[in-house]
Amino acid sequence: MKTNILMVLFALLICQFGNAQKYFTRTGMTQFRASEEAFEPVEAINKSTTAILNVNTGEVAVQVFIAAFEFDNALMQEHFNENYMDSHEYPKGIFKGELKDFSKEKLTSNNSFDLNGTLTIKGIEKEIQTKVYVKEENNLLLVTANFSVKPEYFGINIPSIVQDKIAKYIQISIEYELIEKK
Amino acid sequence: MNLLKKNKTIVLLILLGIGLWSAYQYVFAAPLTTDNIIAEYQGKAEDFKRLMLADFDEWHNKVIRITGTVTAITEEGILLDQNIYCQFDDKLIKITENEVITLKGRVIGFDALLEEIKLNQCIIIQK
Repeated sequence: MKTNILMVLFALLICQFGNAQKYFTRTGMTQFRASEEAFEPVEAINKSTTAILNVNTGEVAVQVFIAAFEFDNALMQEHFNENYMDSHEYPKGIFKGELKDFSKEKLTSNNSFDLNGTLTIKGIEKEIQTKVYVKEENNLLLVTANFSVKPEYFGINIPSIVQDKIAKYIQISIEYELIEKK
Repeated sequence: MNLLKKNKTIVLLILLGIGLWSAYQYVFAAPLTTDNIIAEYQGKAEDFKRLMLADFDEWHNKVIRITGTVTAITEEGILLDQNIYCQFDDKLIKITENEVITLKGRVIGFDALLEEIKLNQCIIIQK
């Protein structure tokens, strides 16, 4: 009897894992704007972000490769990687969190969810809370969000000579098209 | 004498112009593309995997040229030898699964979520 119950529990557990439905992208777009308006734009775009969403639990994991941020200006890109982000030592930014009360079934009536999680940049963790918009279109989940962070959260020092040109808050926007992971 | 002085001024102006132009070019240059960077590794994708897994840091942000078999095709890239993801800037030229190709791309890191080596700005060298 005991063995039977154990077997049923085991079977249920396998079903649960089997159902862990995940959506993902390898080419998500993460963009940041760090410029004060009057000055030369300090902004870059990363089109190589990996993001995974477990649609059963709302768990989210994102990996942003720092070296994949592309600037219009080579010198700015070099300074970003070498002086500000130390991308050789810290090649990735990582986010782990959860979309609160997320379920795919809700998407027809509600597109906005609270996201709570931890963003790790240069090895320093910071709690992030923001609203995320999720839309289902042609079997894709379109995920967008905007939030801001301060460079000092992650121990990024802005030299006084460029301090006027860099905004106090860096605006980050994300746009991920997730497909089902099979 | 006067002519020499005049010429001197012109030469100085030209030199100043060249200097300013070079400074402008240096400060406002666009980043180099994979095309313009010499590959620091050339060889089989399979062998590169071993090198990369032995030392991620060494290959960070380096341009490589690898030959391997296309094992999957996505909208913006391909998987080479199962777990090297190569992202293209342009829409893909006709590539089919199981085809052996040589491409050049920039190593941006190891994707721990999908357990893949990731390259971007890839260009096809040979099909």
